Amino acid sequence: MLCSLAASSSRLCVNSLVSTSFLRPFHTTPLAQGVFMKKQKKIDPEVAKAREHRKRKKLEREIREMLKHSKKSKPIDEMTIDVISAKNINERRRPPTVLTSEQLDERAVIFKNYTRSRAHLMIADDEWIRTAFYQQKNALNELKKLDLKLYEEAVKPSRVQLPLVIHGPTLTPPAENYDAPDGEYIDTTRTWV
Amino acid sequence: MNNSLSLLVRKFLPTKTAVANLASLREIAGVRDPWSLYEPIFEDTREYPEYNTINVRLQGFDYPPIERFQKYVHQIAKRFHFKVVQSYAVAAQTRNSVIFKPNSTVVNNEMNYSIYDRVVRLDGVAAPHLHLFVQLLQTHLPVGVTMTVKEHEKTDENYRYIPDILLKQKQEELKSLDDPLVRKNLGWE
Repeated sequence: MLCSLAASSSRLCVNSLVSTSFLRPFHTTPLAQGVFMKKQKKIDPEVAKAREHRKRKKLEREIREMLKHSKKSKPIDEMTIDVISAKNINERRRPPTVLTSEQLDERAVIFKNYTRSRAHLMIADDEWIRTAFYQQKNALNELKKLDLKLYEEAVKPSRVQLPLVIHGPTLTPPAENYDAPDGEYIDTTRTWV
Repeated sequence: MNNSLSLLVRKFLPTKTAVANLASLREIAGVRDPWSLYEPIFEDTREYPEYNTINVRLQGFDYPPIERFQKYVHQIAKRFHFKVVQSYAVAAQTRNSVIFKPNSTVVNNEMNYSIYDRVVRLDGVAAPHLHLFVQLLQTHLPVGVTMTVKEHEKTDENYRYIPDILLKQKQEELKSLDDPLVRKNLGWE
């Protein structure tokens, strides 16, 4: 009678009916609990201990063996050569270009100038590092004199700023009023499961 | 009296005549710090507190500039007196990007490309020096390269290698031997 009053209450009633009449004969089989089909017989504790020891030892040995050969790094494609190119690699070799002495001189001058310019840049970087270290050290020493607590706070590794993601500059500025076309990025990275 | 003697010992220890004049072996040996009796004292030369191992990861669509920059990071790290633990390449991620025709899902254009990956692993990074290091690298960062500075984790190391399923299974099996339910079913308990 009460069941007909509302939908929710009727569902409750049905549930109670089912639980009393149908669900009783259900058992959870050992399959649901583990991988074993049937419960093993109780064995002598001494024998059990020996068996456990043997099994553990075997597994440990196997793991040790596998660990020796397991660390295989994922293939780095840009550092390998594909099969087709490897086969005809001799066809791809060019005869060495013969340069005239003027060309050689010109190239030597260019190379030297280039090296010099790079060296100058590196020297500038070194200078920057040196001054930055010097100034930072001075500033921190001054802070230490003022307040030790502040100094310790300034010196300790601040985990807040990590991880730090920095994007390099782009080749061109972003196009104005660019209407991006509809599309998708699909991850095709090779996976090992 | 004793104190002045020890001072004397320290002062005159190198000369043979002074040693000959001293009365006992103890006086010849001089005063020693008991802490340094059996082991030398290793002084901590670190000036500032340090980070744990730090990874500088470089990513981009073209790998020659990344490798060039990896070399630069290595050089600069040495100048900052960081220890470069490892400088290695990681397998690239591949992407396929698709452009649809307007108002449909018909593929108009498609492109495959890779995101290359290089990592420099640093140790002994003094905390106040890290931001100077990052600042310098940022000014030199090449076009289209993304740099990620983070603390090293175990997953970063595992990512380099192909996961070994068989090994994992064996390890799981070994672990499951501690499980009371499994033990009961084996008849061990």
